[in-house]
Amino acid sequence: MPKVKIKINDREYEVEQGLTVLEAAESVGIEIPHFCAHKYLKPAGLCRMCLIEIKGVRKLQTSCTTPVKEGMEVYTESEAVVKARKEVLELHLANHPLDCPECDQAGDCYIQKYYDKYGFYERRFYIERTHFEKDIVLSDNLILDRERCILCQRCVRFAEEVLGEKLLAVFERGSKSYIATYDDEKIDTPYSGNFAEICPVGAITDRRFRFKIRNWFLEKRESICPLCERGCNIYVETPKDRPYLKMYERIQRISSRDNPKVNKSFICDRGRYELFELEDNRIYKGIYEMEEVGWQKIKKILKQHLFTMDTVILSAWMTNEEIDLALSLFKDFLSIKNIYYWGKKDGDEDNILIKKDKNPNSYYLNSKKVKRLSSKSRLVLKGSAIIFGDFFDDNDFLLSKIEDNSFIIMITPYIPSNPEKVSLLIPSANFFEKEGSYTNFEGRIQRVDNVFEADKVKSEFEILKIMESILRER
Amino acid sequence: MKFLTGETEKTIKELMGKYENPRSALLPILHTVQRDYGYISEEAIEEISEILDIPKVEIKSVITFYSMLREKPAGKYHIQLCRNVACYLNGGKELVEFLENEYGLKPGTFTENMKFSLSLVECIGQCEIAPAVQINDKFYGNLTPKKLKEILNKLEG
Amino acid sequence: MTEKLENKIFEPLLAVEGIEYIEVYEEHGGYKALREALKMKRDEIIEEVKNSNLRGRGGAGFPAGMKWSFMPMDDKIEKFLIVNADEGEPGTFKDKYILSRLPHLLIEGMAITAYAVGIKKGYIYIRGEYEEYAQILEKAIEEARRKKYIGKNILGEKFTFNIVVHRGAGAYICGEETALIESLEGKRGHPRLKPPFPANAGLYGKPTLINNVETIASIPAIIKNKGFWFASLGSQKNGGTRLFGVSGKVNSPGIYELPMGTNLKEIIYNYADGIKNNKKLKAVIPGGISAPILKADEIDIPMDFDSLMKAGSMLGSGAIMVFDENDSMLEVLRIMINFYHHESCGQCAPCRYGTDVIKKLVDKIFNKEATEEDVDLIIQTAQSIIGKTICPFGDAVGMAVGTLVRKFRNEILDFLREENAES
Repeated sequence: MPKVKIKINDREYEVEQGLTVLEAAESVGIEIPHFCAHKYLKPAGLCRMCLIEIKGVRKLQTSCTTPVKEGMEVYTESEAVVKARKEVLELHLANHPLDCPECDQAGDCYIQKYYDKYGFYERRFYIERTHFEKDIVLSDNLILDRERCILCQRCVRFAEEVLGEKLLAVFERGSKSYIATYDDEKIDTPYSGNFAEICPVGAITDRRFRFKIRNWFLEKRESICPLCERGCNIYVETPKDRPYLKMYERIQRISSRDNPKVNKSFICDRGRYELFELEDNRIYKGIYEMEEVGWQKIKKILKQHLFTMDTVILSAWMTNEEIDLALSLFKDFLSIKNIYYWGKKDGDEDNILIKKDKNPNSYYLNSKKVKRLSSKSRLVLKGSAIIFGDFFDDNDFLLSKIEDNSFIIMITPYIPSNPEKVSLLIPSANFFEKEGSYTNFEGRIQRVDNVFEADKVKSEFEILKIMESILRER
Repeated sequence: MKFLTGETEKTIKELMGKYENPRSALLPILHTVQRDYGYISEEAIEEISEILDIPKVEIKSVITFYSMLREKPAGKYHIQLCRNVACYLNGGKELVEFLENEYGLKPGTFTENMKFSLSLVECIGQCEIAPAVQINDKFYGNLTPKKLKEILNKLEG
Repeated sequence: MTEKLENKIFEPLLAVEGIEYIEVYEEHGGYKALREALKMKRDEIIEEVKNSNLRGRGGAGFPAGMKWSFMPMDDKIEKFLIVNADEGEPGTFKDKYILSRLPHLLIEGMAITAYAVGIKKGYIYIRGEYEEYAQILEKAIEEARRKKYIGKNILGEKFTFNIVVHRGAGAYICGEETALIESLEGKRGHPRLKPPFPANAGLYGKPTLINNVETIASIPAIIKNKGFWFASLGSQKNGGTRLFGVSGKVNSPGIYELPMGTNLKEIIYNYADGIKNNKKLKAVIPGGISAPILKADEIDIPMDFDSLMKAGSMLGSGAIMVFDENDSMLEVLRIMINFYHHESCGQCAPCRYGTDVIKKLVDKIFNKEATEEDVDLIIQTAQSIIGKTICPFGDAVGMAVGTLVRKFRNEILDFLREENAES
């Protein structure tokens, strides 16, 4: 992209042409406060917080709507600008309810953030604030508080521009304006959680997160969502390592992570709300002949059966590295012919984020020409087989294909629905406890670190390494 | 079951034809429906939404923006009394008091049988004949409480 | 005072009974200017308008000829002409005379404008309350169409121009040109960010010329008598005559067509026959409620755009509102802020919250709960809205309210002190 030379606060910068002054300033580390501007929404210029001074222009301009021009000289902290900011913020606060003690947004709120830096501190307006309804159920996941709303219209614009549907609108005019749906209908979209994330204040909040934990107790750890082959970038929000937070579950919230190439800064509701289920129904000890066994015993059993495996079924939730290692062991070294993979069954897809394939790594397995098993396959498992079953449901169809008297080793973090059919159950780490690469639907490789430590179990990679050492012993 | 009658629908189609983009006909259509039915009902919104292919929430958003459009019925004669400078300071205030004392009519209320209703409105462009009111579509100026009473009495119904 | 009627363009016509009918209009020279214009070159017409120093009669006072020249000349581009007949500025009532009594003058002006700029479709956006006048307009348009003054192949030339009358629905902000366009497109009347300007991207994204009723209605006379004639009628850089609307505590409220630059004192005392009941003049709002108020000792001033701007006010719509010694300026303030509060479109924060805060502070004054600091707070809040909003509405609120409270601060403080003394 061609560049232009501009000056910000008397310093020269080279920035990309086509950016707004707001974006250009951010790209060189200069923050300009704003409510309504959003990286992925068209500039609206409604909140008037981003006003800055441009040399040669009489009135202050909104930096979110002004494109950069060669030779432009911008001032973001001049006296006029700082005064204007204080005044605009003061007006935003004139009707804003003093809800911070009970507002979930606290700690992550744009008004708080800017008040810290630009507030007047001395209150001047002693007037009755305008009242609106405060607990409107906007959807199963969302609550709308109209008093906290600053009418930045991010929610309205998000629905219209990103989702392509007019779900919300502004009713009335002037200071009586408020956000509403038609007839207070609940909004019905698989992207509802994004409204709570996109709202810069506590007007739209997530019902599932309501009153759960304070933002400042949370740590954001990077990961991706495994629930479909897009691999949207996410944050897993976990309580900080503090003694008084020990009683909280380790996943408190899932939020989006900005990646312009994969998911922008949005995720679907499945990723946002269903990933908690990855924590349930875990097993931490091996099970052999209905008894719990440790790794010493597991290794012994593996020594007995590894060399006589007929079939290997890999999982579309394994990492690239695990798949490579598994193929080198089973295909190259042991020359096993029956190698397949399985995953969660296909579902809906749309042209926004959701993809049909509900697994994070089918692409890699397909690229290695591993055949996929579905419930329609007529495969019957007999003899001995190893199954990698990383995901947490749909075990049924595979286990129903097991012939009696076959020896089945299953490596999984979760208790299968018919555990009696499995001869040896080896506990493994779940998705958030693993590190490795996943290849998404367009062939993009995304590497993730483990979000949590797997202290009681081993990852499939570690288990495969153990198998490798067993195989190389002989 | 269709709500808007043939006559109204005919006018709607005519109106849509006048504009390069038929969406522009929304305001004229809402005026037509309000004139024909007294106000804009939910059924009307649903049908207009289908005809113009505009989401219902957007139509409601437009209706609530404009003062003249209403979703509830008004009186047979809707009195719009100017509350702006020239009128209010030159007899308008007395007219408001008169309507309340004589007819019990306050802004947003009706008289019996819904014959009259009252809104206080902003400048209606009749400042040279202040104080002025608009009753339905007609303007009346140079009013005194007495003159207003005569006018209201002459209105049938 | 007798004025030469040849130097007026509206009053001679308004004096003719039945002038709203096309036959009467034609008898009095109607549509002659259109015939002449069709013989001229298009850029000649624009040149005449530039020479006339005609400035927008809606309020902003932008030179009309310059606005026309911003429009692209290429006729392959779809272009629109919009006549702003939203007449919502409190105190303003002049356009209704043109709409209801001189509809053909407007239509003729529109046709000439459309010819000059290369426009095939014109909309008259008329405020919803003016239903009666809209019907007169539509009848006149039908008459004009039948006589081929508008429609296809106007007067036998290769020139097509059609007019549609479009009604508003009760929103003052729709008088702002981009809000008007949004409303015409069937949406809420939210002003747009500028740039782009309507001449580049207006109605449906196409180049749009938008002018006030009176501005367009001045065009036929400019064609007939040429631009320099029109310019000579007024003052420097403020060409022509205009309709001043006088209301309030005067003996003869009404419209008066007078040269631009006529002294305000003269208008009030010589034309509107002075203050009613021999009371003392207290204050005058010179150009509609958004024009900052003038005290009694500030009215010796020429009524044109530049002189009033220098005096810290504005000519606006030429709506002169006169207040006498018994008019309470506090009451004016209350009406003013209630008006702005009601009419704010609400999309940008400073105006949406600023009007609300000021209204509540004024309510406090009336509820006897305010302090003297609150009065100054009104002035400061009004100031903080100016220059920060998407459209000039915010500036209007700030300046009109701020000036009123500043100039009549003592009267307001006296009211407070009285109230406090009582309680």
